[in-house]
Amino acid sequence: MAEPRSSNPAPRKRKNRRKAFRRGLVIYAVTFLLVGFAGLFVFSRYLAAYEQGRGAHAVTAWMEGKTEDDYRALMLSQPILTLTEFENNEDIINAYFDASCTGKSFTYREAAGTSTADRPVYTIKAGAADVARITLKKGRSVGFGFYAWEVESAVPYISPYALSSATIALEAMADEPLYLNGVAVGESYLTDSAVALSSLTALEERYAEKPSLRRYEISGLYGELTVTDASGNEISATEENGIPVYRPGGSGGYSFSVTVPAGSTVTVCGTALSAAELTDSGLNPLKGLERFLGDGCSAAQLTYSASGLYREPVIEVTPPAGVTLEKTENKDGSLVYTPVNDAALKEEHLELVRAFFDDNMAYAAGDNSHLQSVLQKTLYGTELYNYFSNSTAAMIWASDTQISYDYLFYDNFVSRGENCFTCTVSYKANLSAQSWYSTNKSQLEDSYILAFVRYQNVWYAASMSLIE
Amino acid sequence: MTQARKWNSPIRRVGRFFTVFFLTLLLILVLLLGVIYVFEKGPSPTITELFCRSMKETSALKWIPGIFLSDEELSFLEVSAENIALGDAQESVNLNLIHIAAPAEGESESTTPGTAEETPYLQLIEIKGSTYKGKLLIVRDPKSVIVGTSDNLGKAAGLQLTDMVAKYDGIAGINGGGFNDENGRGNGGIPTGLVIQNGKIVYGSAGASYSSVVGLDRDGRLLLGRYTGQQALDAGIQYAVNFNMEGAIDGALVINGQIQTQNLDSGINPRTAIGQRADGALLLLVLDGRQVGTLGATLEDVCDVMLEYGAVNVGNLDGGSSSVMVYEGEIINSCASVTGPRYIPDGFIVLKEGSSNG
Repeated sequence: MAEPRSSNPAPRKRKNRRKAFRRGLVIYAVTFLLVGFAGLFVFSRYLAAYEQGRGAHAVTAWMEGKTEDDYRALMLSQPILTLTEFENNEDIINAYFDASCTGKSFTYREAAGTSTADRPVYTIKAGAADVARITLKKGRSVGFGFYAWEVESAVPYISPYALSSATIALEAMADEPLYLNGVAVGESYLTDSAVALSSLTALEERYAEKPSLRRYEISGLYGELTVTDASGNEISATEENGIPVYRPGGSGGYSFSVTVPAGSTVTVCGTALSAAELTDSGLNPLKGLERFLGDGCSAAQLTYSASGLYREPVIEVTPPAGVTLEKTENKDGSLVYTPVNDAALKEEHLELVRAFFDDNMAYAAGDNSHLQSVLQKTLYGTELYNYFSNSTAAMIWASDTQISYDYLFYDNFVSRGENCFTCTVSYKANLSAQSWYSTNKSQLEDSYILAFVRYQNVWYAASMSLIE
Repeated sequence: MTQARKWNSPIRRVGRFFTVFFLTLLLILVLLLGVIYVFEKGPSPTITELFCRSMKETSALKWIPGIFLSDEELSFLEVSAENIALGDAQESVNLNLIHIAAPAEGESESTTPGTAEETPYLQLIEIKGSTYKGKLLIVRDPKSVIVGTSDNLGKAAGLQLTDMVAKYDGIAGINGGGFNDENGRGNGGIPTGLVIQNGKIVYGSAGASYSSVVGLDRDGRLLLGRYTGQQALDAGIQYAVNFNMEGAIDGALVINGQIQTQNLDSGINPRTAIGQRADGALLLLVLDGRQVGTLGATLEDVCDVMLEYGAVNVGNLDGGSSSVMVYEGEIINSCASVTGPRYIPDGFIVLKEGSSNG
């Protein structure tokens, strides 16, 4: 029953070799593929472990469910910046968050230069702005040397370039306190105690101690800045050499205006005012009376003023001998010193003044008969005398004159030396003059400074100056 | 004996060899497809994205992501609306952050540091990361860097960087902006965007708008972002190129110390970038890739390297096979181009010390 042997062994051998070759190819291919797919499987497991070992997953999990308010709270949880006493962390961070983070998507990326394989660090970002840094720690092993990661800490973080700090300078007089964001700028920021001023006024050039500024420099400022003076006035900055400089009053912002009677002495910060500061010589009721009173006699109100001063002007006025001054401050801050009414002088001379003024008004109303009376009460040789004697105001015949006053005040009696005094008369008069053909009615409302001079022991009216 | 001779005949042997050879090729192809499958459909979405982005950035291999992934599955490669919004809000370079120090009197002319205190004119640093190797050249004086171009820009063939550096008598250089290389058959002479040289537009137009502009102004300050040609000139830009990576919003990687996350979507590839430190020093970076031992770098890696060396602003330049750095007449990086260094239309050239672009 045995199979008969092939009569020709060569084809069988060839067939066997082919079979063996094919079998070899199959085994080769299968082995190749098995090894290859085994390799792919391992590779796939490796990738799975790699994916599980990415720190990003821990960060994603940490971020899940967090709202904008959570990130804001995290940023405020501890100081990020080193701030001066003029700013507080909450304001700066809130401003940063509002400007850079609000409404943005929160993402993360690994922190370059900080993150390491053993201690991954991620930066949480809102858009392009930094918010926080998350540091991870190793958790369980996921194979192939990879680990699952857990969040170890989350701290607020801002790139040093995101908030550039500013430096400002403040320059003020020694006695001028300045406030930055409501906090007084202390001496610890003083960098120069005597900054020379190149544009001093003529007055300040005469000061015994010329004004100079004290310079304070403050760095490390991040937010909006408000500089105020002691009165709470906001001071604006000017850019100088790349940094904002704040000076009260915009650099020499003080000014003054003071009006005093001639003969007074006025000092500002201890320095007497001179003609350089005299801006108005005023009305001088004694002008032209020098031959009776001597040179230099004046009852003018002189006005001195200056602006662009660096030091707050401290004004002191010394009145002429025997005169007491009364100070008035106008709405614009200007000061007016006027002589106080001398009650005794008024009592002594009121009738004299009234008699002259009544004659003057009667004459002005048209009663020609008063001209001689007025002239008798007026000092001969004065402009006032010449005025009356040359006047034609009352040269029109009036059969009857009447004067009534809505008001009439005699005031400000001031002695101008032994032989002179001045006073003011203010009135509102209703004048009526009746002629044969008509009745003239008029109304006058004026104020005059009247000057009286004693000549040969008799008092005369010497000048009458309309107060504008 | 005749049959045995037939089996062992040379023709049969060659036949068996080719059978094994082609079978091996087939098996390798199958395994390669398996590898691609694991990359594309495997357990790591991170690797999938990185792989697909790397392939997409490589002009000859753009089709690979589509082997196992549908267009819908590849939608992650498209620029997200969020990134577009971030790109629209991209801030401008704050020049106040750059304080270029005037060269100290009597500073050394040598290219190597004389003393520990001196900052050398050029510093060449080896860079090594987990997937890349490369070179970083720190140029102390930013005014010694210009944009060099090939002759008859846009009309004739480009130049290899070694020749371009020599043309300007420079000491070093890196490749610059993008250029037209359709189907890999370009001659490297036609830039794809704006080129400004000596304060004049030498390629592109004043009215057209260009994203990813990388320029240097009169003081050597690096400017990045979107400009029209005229806006670039108005901004004082003296030298500029631009490179629009496919699918990217802008080439600005870091602006004012802030990483521009919207511009970082990328794969692993050879990279070229230019950055500037706060003291004005320019950082010229080339990272090699597509080779054993240096696969390449992502744009995040570029940011990381640049930030580590103090960059405040960083712009991306043409990468891939174009990435090349020349130093003292030699190419000092390992080019990915299999046909040797490419011909390019423009590059950043470092002039020898004592020369200045001003």
